[in-house]
Amino acid sequence: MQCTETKPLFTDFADNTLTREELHALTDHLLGCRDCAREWQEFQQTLNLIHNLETQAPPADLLPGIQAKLAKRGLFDRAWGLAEALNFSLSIPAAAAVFTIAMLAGFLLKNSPLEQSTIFSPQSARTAPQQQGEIFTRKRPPIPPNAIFAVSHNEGGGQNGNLEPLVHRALTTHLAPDNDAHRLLSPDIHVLIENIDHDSRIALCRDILHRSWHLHQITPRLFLVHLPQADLGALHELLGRQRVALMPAAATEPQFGNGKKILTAAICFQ
Amino acid sequence: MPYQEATELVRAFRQGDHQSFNRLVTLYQKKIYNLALGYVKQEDEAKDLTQDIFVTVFRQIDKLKDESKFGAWLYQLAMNHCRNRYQKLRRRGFFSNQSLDDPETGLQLSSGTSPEKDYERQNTSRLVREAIASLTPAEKEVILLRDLQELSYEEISEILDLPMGTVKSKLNRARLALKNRLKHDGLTKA
Repeated sequence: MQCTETKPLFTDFADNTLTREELHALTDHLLGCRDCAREWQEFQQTLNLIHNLETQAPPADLLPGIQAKLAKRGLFDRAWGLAEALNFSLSIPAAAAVFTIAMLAGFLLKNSPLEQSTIFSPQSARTAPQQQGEIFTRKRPPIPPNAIFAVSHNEGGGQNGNLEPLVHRALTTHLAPDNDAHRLLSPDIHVLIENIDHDSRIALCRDILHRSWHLHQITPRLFLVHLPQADLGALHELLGRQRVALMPAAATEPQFGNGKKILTAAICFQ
Repeated sequence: MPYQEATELVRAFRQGDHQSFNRLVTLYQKKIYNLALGYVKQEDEAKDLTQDIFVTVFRQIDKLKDESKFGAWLYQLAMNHCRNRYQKLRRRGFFSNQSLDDPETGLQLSSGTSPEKDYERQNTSRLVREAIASLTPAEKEVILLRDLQELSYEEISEILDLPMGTVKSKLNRARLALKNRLKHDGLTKA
């Protein structure tokens, strides 16, 4: 046996689990090799030192500490257990759907033509802000009945009743009540222009200004035009190049608004 | 290892008898506490670690498939806790901050022996523990389980999920490494 072969056998030698051949070979080598004999002696001393180590008694407050930790975690466990009992789980698509519905509901509520006081508590909606000294915000003005707006005018000459609410919504949403244009909240003519590209829109505005009509941009898509009643035919000419909806139907007639010097047209680009 | 008693206590505990859990703690607390002490060396840390181990036992007892294997399961769980805590403390520099002046490593006199012998015995014990603590985690594990916890090779094989031959060879290498450290400290001599 070589010296390098002895050390791997030390534990089995100590455990007395060597085979007879291994035992004879190792003991023969240890008797003849002083270095390996010294290694074995140190190995035995090491085992004695480890095995003589005294185990320490655990602290007396070990178990009470465990019970305290368990009690501390009990509240969390009960909450988690309740969640599990209710089988409460939400996948990512479901969460996205809930979020979308919530956002849509918020948007619809905000833009609802109903007064907020019919949705929330009347008392809190009407009196609470004033009682608490908060800033009072003006209520959104009610939208007038618009049953007379029903006729459209476009290239095909067909009817497109769906366009009318868009004009109204655009006006009522973007016109502040205390704006200079407040008096124009109910323009004489509503115009909705569909599928117009940027260049055509610029050209239309330029034509309007070229005719010395007053043009006010309310939003990038909403304009107010003040024009003499006599120029109504010219407005029809300009709009005739586009696909438009015009309301009311009477506004398609040159004599519309005969009693007024100035007509106001709200032009909305869709 | 009181296998039969532990198995019965585990069964009773799983059936809702919380007193059985307290008795399980009492049955194993000394071994688990000393195992933890072998890792973290400091008594307060070892106590906290031991408590966390038994809290996990309480919470995860349902995951134990075979009640008769509670001992091996407990040691596996304890070893994982010890490894994690050891790594965490080492990253925080906990072990490099410990000194011989720590109250936990101070001299504790016992009646019936001379102060000099008490000092020599406790100093040797401290040096051996420090030498064990300085081994690599893999070396330390087998020394703790075999030489301090006095578990069988079969049990260690089950706990570490290693073949028995591998356990024996790892143990032999760990003992040789410890021998060299103790020799370096002057605790062994031919």
